[in-house]
Amino acid sequence: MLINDIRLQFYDKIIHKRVLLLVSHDVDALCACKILQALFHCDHIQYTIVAVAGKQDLERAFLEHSEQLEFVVMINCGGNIDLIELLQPEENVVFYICDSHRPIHLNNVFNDSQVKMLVNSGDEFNLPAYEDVIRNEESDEDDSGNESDEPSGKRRRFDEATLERKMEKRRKRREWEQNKERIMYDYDEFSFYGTAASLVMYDLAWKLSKDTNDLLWWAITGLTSQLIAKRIDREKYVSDVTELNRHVSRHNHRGNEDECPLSVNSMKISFVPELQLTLYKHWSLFESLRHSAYTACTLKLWTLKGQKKLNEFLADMGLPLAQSKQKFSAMDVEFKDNVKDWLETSAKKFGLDNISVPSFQVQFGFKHKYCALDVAFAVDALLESVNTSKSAEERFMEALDCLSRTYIDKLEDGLDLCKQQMMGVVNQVQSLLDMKKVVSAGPFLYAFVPDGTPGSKFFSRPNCLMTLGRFTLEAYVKLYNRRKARNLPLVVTAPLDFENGTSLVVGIPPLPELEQASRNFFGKAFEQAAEKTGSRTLHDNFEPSVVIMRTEDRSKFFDALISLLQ
Amino acid sequence: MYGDKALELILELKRAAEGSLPPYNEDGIRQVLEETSVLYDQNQADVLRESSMTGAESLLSAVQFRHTCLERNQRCLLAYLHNRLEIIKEMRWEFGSVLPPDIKNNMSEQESQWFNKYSKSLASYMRSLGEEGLDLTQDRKPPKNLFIQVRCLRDFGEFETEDGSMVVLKKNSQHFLLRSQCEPLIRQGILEHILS
Amino acid sequence: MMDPAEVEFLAEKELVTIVPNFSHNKLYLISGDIGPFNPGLPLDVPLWLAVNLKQRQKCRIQPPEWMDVETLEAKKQEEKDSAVFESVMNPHFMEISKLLLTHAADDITNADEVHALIKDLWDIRAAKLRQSLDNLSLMEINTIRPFLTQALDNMHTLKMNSM
Repeated sequence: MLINDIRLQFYDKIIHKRVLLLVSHDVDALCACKILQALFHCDHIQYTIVAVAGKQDLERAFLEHSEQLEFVVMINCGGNIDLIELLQPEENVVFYICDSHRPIHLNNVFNDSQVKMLVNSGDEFNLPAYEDVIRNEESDEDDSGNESDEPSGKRRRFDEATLERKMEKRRKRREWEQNKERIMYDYDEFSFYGTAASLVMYDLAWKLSKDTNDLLWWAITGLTSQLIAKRIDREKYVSDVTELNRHVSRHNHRGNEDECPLSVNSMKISFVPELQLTLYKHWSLFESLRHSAYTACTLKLWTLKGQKKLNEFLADMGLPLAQSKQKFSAMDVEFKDNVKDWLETSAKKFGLDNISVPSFQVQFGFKHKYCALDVAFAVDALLESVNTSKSAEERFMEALDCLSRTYIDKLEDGLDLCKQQMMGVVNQVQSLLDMKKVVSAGPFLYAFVPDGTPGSKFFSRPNCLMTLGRFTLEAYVKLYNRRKARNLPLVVTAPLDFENGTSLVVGIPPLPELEQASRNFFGKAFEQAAEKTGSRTLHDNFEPSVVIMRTEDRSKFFDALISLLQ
Repeated sequence: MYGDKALELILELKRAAEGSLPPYNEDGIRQVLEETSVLYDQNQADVLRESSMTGAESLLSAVQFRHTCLERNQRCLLAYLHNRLEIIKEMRWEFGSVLPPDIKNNMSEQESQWFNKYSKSLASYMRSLGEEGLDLTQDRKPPKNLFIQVRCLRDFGEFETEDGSMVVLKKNSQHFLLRSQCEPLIRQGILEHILS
Repeated sequence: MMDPAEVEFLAEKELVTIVPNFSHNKLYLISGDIGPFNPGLPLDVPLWLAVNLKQRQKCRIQPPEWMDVETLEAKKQEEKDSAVFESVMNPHFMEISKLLLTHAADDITNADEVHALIKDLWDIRAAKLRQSLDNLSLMEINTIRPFLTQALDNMHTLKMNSM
């Protein structure tokens, strides 16, 4: 059941109750979780948080913690799977789900008693009509029941009529089934993302008049993470930013600023156009330009010509090479202050029209000043750290911590990790292109990250592998500029666990699709390909286009995928 | 030199890390006691000699010196035992009536007995307060919040809260619980307090 | 010897004015009745409650009158000019300002300046306290010694009895 009035139908229901919070491993979920925690702290609602990385985790966490608990809140998980079927809960258990994964599983939509979906009222769902997809079984049974009640003598007499009626009914049923199949196919074909969970939660906080700058910043971080993972298109991002900017102005522009300035230690958020350059404020401009997908792919930095072009670009800006390789924070003040304007002007000449996006930055104290893009990158890097001494749950907790101001130091660790990750990604893209390892299979391109390369460990994490995939696809398309390749999707695999012989597989939709709607058809395709060939795959991730597979089954899986997509 | 062993005991206790109890040094204590009894015997002999013969006043200063050493040994021993008891007493407030095994193993038999008696008197005193008793070991510093955020550092299993419901404390789960209930578990190292 | 946390605990009984954003009936506490709470209507509550409500986004705190740059500057000057300890705005001014500046900095105008002034005032007084113990002549020390030693003796006896 979809819920629009989240305050009345969700918050007022769980107040003074004990709640189980199941949170998935992504930045948006962490931010939404932080906001909800803040609300729970205000109202003394006791809770337990458990991190869940996939469906198996979800099942286990529910079994372990749900005893005596009636209220389960799920953040960015559970929406696109049939929960009642998976978890077999007691009848008194109610699930409140705030999940940006789309499409929502229809059994969740049409369950009125136990599954409540917290959604943004502005979202569109294109839900099929109830009677088109769910057959009222009872009425059927009633009919058959009546039939058998009739005396057998009578029945024989009406045989022909009943037979005709039965035939008619069967025909209708078949039609209905076909219709349902078509509707379901249309509904399920693409996986995509709706409004960020953190925005839904922030909206609740605002309606409860408990929103503060801290909560607002988390909402901003959550939304920004959706942008960098390309989960939403630019249009949706801009409209959400506009919405958030209203709150930013409300919280950060109090009358006569000069007369009563806020304390330095208070949090201040401001709206700024921000360059889409990865971590440039915490790196050098040169490195950042090299490691950002947009600039690296547009300038074709994989070739000598491209590298020359980068130098030209810097020269055009009037920035000495030595300065651009300097740590950004140590750059001459004159350059540092102007670099954003110069870069934007020069970018237009080099075909980098979309280099800046509307974004926000935050400041508290003298030392801490961050822009939303960098924070979103850093938190994601902590989540996907490849440090083997840390379990998935520990990484989750660390990432959760770094969002609070008390543990802000951990964010710095995240920034460093993110740099390492991006270097790994760029090196991998370079070697895939150099070795011509991006191959066309006909209906799609594919690339295997070979085992044992120095950076390959980074790609055992789904988000990082998807970043690699998007980066590779864009680089490939822009480098070869073949008309045909432009509309091809890409499948990337990377070794996950060498000893168990498993690989991680992700599917990246074609670039135009990625830019405009961020829809992905690989979820369904992977499922069908695995089914047809009996490949040993695990569809555990909440994102359906991420699959774990036995490495030895790869070729038959790919064969099936080719014939499926042709 | 006389008194060195006794000083050694004191230093050992002083060097121990805050909030820990070093093992009961039975050997050291025995050595100090032996030294003391040797001193006592020598003094006894000298005093007898002094009273039996004349012109033995020169012995007196030695007797004096030994006596001072003897008293010093006694003081050091008492200080050692007393300070250990103070530590053990503090632990009753910190950990409650059941001590972690590593601390228990470092206590002497008598200390264990003393601890049990102290624990019992404290418990019965706390029971006698008010109508239903009052746990004095809670909120030893003025509390700032009723509820706190805690993270589980190791698997503990089911934990019954004051309202009778169960919370499963599993490694790496995070909870928002009554401060008073978490305090003992935090002291035992099962939970970690998280700031918001 | 009192723990600073305990001193702060005592200071938390001081009253401050808040503007709640919720309504609630009168609270009957041992130390006295508080309330009723009406949205937008200022009322006096103990500091501990004010801070708690503020943390839970349920009120705005109106800082005490003395917590204002002009007053504090005058006070600081007065303290500086005088050789003895001047009376302070509130016996718990340090604890109150610390709590309010940590938890309700956004409700205090010029919080940073207020913070600096309070710290200055505290430093001046602390310096006076320490200085008054230096430069004492032997006779002066002697006149105060009986008082101090006796006090120490008494404390010792009390301690012995408490054991």
